[in-house]
Amino acid sequence: MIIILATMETEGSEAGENGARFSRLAIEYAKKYQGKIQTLPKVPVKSLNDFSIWYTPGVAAVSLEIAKNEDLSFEMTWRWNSVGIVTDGTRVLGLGNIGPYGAMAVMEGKGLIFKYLGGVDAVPIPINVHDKDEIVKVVKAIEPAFGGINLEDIESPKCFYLLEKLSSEMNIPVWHDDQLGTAGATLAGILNALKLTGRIPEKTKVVFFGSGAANIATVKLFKAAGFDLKNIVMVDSKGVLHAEREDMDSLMKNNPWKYELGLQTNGSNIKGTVVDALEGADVLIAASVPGPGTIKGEWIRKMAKRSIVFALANPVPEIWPGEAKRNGAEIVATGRSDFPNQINNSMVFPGVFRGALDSRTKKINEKMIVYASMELAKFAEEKGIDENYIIPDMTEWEVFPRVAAAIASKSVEEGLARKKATREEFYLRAKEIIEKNREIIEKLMNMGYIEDIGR
Amino acid sequence: MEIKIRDLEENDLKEATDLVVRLKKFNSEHDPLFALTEDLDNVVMKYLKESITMDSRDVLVAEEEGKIVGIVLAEIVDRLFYQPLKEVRITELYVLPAYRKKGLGKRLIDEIAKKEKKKGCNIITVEFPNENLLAHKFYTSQGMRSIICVYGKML
Repeated sequence: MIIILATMETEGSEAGENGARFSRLAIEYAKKYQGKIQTLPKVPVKSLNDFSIWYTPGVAAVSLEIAKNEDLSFEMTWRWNSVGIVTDGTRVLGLGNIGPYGAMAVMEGKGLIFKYLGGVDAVPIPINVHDKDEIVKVVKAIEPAFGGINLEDIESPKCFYLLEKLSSEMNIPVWHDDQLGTAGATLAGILNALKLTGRIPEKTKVVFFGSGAANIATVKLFKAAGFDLKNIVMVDSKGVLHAEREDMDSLMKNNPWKYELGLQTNGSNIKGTVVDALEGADVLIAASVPGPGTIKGEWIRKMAKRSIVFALANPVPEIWPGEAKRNGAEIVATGRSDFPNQINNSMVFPGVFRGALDSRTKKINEKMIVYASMELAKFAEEKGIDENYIIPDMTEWEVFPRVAAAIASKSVEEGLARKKATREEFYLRAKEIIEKNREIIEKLMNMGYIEDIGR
Repeated sequence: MEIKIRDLEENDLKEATDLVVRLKKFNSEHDPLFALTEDLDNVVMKYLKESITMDSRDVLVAEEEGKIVGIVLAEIVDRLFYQPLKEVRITELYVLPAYRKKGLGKRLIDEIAKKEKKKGCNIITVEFPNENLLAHKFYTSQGMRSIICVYGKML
């Protein structure tokens, strides 16, 4: 596969034009369709008498059964396949704190991807509550309705507290996609990039540029995947993070997660700026502020030979792939679909939740996510990886049931699954559900119930 | 590597000042009434230097291979109206982040308590910003409790 990278100027102007076009169309279609998802019955209604079974009086018997054994809610109601997408609207995409009403449009989009790629019934729940302990109360209160919770677009460091607290106190899996989805996709891409450049996780030096939710979660996941934290250096707007940095006490108070990483990472006690950190580094993972020019080409030249650069800021990566390559990077990934190697959490969460729901797991732990990332990497490897293909893209939908089976079987192994089956059984079930949902959507489009976009 | 606890010496002043300045900066995050004085570094260094020779103040440092990694400052306070009559009050206790959770804070408190007990102090107290929740937790774990409140406002 040959991909010719455009020059910096073209890369930049195309990004601008596309962005404006997508915005215009999104507004036009939002007005036309007035929402992106809806509920539909999954039982036959041939006459109104059928409601005596689906609703009262018949349904009372079902309720009594479930009341006696709550786990039956996974067998006798839609709970087994439903996920609540909860946001307080404090960090919506790159827009910042736009509040829960504005966040709804994004959550609907998320719901659509959940359905289309994972066959999951996901319900957007933007909430008008911002205090962290109040959010905990709200999310715990809706546990009976769902088989899983996807936290979305919640500001850092609140998001760390919520994920930790809710995961430990709820009996359904809680996921924060901005942390875990991004971390899972990044790990998958890196695993293949390491294979291609002859490296192993244990000895790879990684610099993380930007210390927001995504990168903090990614560092933690890298640790679970066998990377040595001492070989990892985190950099933020104040420079290299190290145990004696002036603001460490402040971090201890305000962001203990970052504080802990300040203590555990950077074994060589590097101080200074990102340039100092990049000297001889194998991998750069940037999730900071949009570029171009956030990362300079000359910095890449400081890195080890055959370096790996992930520039994940959206909508414009910290450095254009062409520039990174001209300065010595062998493998470059971004967050964008118009360049090779898109690191996209949509490759992770639909499969993860499919598997989590199918195994009725109580939690999704780090081991399970690492396992899912490895499966994602393996899928690409089986097809043949090269510098422009280190991770599958969204068109390769066959990967989602594979990720689902990885999550579900690991959940059984970890003793977290309510429902046990073999990896093969989980795979076939996930495949069947995802295929069926895609068919339903296709049929609805063919029959005109989902109106054509008219282009 | 062994961490030694010993009296503050002139040679330590630069490093010791850095630790106390860190603590003062941390204190200032907890309440605007702890806004930092100008020229903080020099003020702290002068204060520490005086403490070396003063009877009513003691400073101990924790040292690992020539590096100062922790510090405790204490003042001896006369109690006119209550018994016991002499109190040692810890005004600063700081341990570098990488050396925390290893019992060093407790060792510093124990050592200063031992030293001041010999000078007739039979009660040990500590002061810190009320909003410093981590300090509440730490000193409670050391068997101490809140015994006095200081309220304040700007005039």
